[in-house]
Amino acid sequence: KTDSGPRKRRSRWGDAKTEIPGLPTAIAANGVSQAQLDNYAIHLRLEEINRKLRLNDFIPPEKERSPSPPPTYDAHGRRTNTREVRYRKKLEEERVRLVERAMKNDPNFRPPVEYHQQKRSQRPSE
Amino acid sequence: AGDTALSDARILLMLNMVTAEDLVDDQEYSDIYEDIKDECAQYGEVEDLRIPRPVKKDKSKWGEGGSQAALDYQRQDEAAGVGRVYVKYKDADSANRALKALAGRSFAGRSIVATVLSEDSQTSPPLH
Repeated sequence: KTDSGPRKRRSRWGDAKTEIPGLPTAIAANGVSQAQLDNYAIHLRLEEINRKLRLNDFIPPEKERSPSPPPTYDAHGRRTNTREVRYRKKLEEERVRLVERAMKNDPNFRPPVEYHQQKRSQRPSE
Repeated sequence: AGDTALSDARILLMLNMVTAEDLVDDQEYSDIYEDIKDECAQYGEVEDLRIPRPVKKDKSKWGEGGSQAALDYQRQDEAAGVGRVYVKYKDADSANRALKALAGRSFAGRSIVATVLSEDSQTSPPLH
C-alpha cells in the first residue's frame, strides 16, 4: 500500500435502491429464524451476482474500486488481469462459496447450473 | 404480532452488507465502521453498532488437518454472526426509519437486506 498524504475515506454507500423483483429487502422478522434470514440473504446475493454477470454490470464505479494490481500477461503478450477479468473472477468465486454455504445449511437447496460448470472448469488437480 | 411487539424493536439488523474478508484488515474494518455509523446516525440516535469480525486465522495450523481447521474457523465465524451488522437505536421509530431508508440500498455493490429486532428476539445480537 502506498502512503500519499492524508487518506481520504471512500464511501461504500450507493445512492439508488436496486430491488430485484420478487426478492424484498425489508423483512419482517417475526417468526423468522436467524438461519432463515441468513439463507435468504445468501439467496438474494446469488441472484444479485447472476444478474451482474448476465448484464455485464460487475465493474464497480471508480470510487468503490481498489487500486489495480500490476498488469500480468500471458505467453502471447495479452493482458490476463484486466479489470473485467478480475471483477468477474471475484464474483464467480464468491458464488462458489455462497453455493457451498447454502448447500450445507439447506439440504433442499439446488445449486444454479453455473455452479457445476464452474466447478468442472476450475477443479484443481488432487 | 401486535404493536407492543414492535414498539421495542429498536435493533436494525442488516445482511448482505459485509463479508468476512472485508473485515480482516483493521484499516478496512474501521473505514467500514465509520461509513456505516455516519449513515445510520442520520435516522436517529445510535446506542450501539456491532460488526462481528472473523477470528484471527492461525495459518500454522493449516498444514496437517488444515482443512479441518479452516472449517472450524468458518463455523466459529458463523456462530459469531460474521457478515451481519447490528445497529441499536435509542427508539423503535428511528430503527424503522432506518429500515425504510436502508433496505435495498447498495453498500460496496451489495443490496442490503434488513429487518428490525427487539432485544428479546431469538435472533439475539451481540449487543449489551
